[in-house]
Amino acid sequence: MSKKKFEEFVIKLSEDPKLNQSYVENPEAVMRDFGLEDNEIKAVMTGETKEIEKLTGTKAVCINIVMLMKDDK
Amino acid sequence: MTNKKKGSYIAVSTGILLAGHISVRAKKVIEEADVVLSLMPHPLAENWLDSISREHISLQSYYSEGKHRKQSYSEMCERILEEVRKGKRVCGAFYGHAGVFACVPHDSIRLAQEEGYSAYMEPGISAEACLYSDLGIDPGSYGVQSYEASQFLFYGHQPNVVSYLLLWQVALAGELTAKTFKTNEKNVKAMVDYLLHWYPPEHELILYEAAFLPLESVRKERVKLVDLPSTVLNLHTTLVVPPARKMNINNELVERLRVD
Repeated sequence: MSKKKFEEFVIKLSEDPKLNQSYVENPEAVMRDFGLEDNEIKAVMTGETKEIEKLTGTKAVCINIVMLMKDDK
Repeated sequence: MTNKKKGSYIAVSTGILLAGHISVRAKKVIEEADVVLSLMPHPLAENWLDSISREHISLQSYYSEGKHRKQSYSEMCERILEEVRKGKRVCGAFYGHAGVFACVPHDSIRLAQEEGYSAYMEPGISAEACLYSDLGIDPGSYGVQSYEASQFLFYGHQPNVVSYLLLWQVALAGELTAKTFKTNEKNVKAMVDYLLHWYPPEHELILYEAAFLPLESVRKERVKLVDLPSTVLNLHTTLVVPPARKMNINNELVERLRVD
């Protein structure tokens, strides 16, 4: 349930520039106001990729190679 | 035209920043489609698509280390077409601008059209659009050359040193196998050697990475050309090479233009 709340927060932050600005100025207070849990706030505040990825998941591969020499041979 | 088949296909661009860069039109296409097939860079983006669509299928599973990317792209297109042929309103959702450095959206649209289906692309905010905002570069000031890094090397493109040079997917520069996602230091050195034909070793470059999540910071790391092989390059790192010289006025042509 908490993971869903965290996802909701990240999406809200993306959609709402005003909230995003408040977050930049005072991230901890904004996360607390949104109702995030202590461990989630701590993960974001420490900025440790591994901890954040536990909450958000890991970035996937998204590469598009347009043209390769091999294909032209 | 009334002779179109029943299925239809729209490739939409979801922008770079998760859920925040998508256009009103693209979001509506996603919401109204019978099925959405996506190529997103993050599980959060996939969860977001789950929440705003009727049915969502990720195409990420077609990628894998050791598999030729052309095969992955071909399988992704076929999967999209499978749904269109069922007569559904199909949406392909692609990260950034669906038509920029992306062959699956272009190929799937072309294939759908060739089979007689209605198909088109909705534009969106690309990484290049974000780069201009984040780095404060106006492409109108000095001009911009933009290449996929491997293509730049393989085809011997010549940089115009009075303009900006953007090299995309620099981490995979010179990667010939199309089967790996790992940076090869030897290839990066080869790229540096190539650039040294036009730029001094101390020329300052910018390593740029747009933020996909609002929790992330934009990467704008300055590095000397000669130090590039020892820096961390990620799959989404773009190399920005600022102009090395000032622009020169073409006096002869300007004079000619002055003549009535």
